[in-house]
Amino acid sequence: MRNDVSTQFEDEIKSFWILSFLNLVFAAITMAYGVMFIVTRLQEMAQAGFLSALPVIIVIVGFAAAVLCIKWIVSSVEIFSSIEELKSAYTRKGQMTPEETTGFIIQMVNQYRTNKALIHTMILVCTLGGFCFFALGIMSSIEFISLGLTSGTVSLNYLLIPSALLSLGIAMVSLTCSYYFRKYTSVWDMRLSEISRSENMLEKTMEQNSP
Amino acid sequence: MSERRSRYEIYWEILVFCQTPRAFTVIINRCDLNSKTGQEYIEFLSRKGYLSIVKDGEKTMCAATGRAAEYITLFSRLYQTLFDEIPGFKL
Repeated sequence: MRNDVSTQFEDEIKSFWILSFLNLVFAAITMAYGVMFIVTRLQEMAQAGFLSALPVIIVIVGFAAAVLCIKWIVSSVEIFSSIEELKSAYTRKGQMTPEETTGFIIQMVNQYRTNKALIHTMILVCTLGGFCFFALGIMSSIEFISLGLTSGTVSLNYLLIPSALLSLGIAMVSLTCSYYFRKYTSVWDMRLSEISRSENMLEKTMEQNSP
Repeated sequence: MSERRSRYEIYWEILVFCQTPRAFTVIINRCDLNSKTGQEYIEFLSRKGYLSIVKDGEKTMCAATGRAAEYITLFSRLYQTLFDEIPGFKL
């Protein structure tokens, strides 16, 4: 039987699956982009033959973002595989009795209990990653316009536009993922505190019903 | 994920599974418990009158009682309320 509860349950599994999948895909893209970004900048620095402050800062920020990405990917895979397992089991079930629905609710609760710390890490990683890429995007945007202060000329480097847009895009997605992970934890933390209250009720019922 | 279950969730699993009389080893395998904790849970439920121990020839079977049905209903209602009353997560 697929009642209202199981419909909502199904929606939540799908939503969290999409969020985890998006997060995983963008973590992989970010990792690839981060490495490409660092290599390109290092090549440019090597070709220029001298070190200026801004490219060095960009490489350092890019390197920090790439390191964060490794943590991001590992955590994303763990979260994604747990929700994927649950989603597959739910899809396979088809028609369900109320008891089976309750059984799935327990699994969902346990999925959250197991991944709670990881999801909190993800919120932090996504927020930090988002700000790192936001900083990269801003720096690339600044480099797009170079002002010749002595000559008073303005030159535009159009090649930096895609790089700046990509950085800002990744920053947006990363911050959005962080927002939705936070929303997910707030819903489930509320449920866990509700479960604590329910457990008190169950305990009292068991005490009262003791022979 | 079994280690994250609360004892009330384990009670529920045992009682639902024992709606049909089951042997101890079958229960601990199905509910993913070790012998020691499985024994403790079954003894507790039996002491509280939620499980009755039935002799079926050589075998000792555990069967959920009428009181267990009350627990199962209450538990299911409380857990389904989590999705009924708390605003859900949606993208």
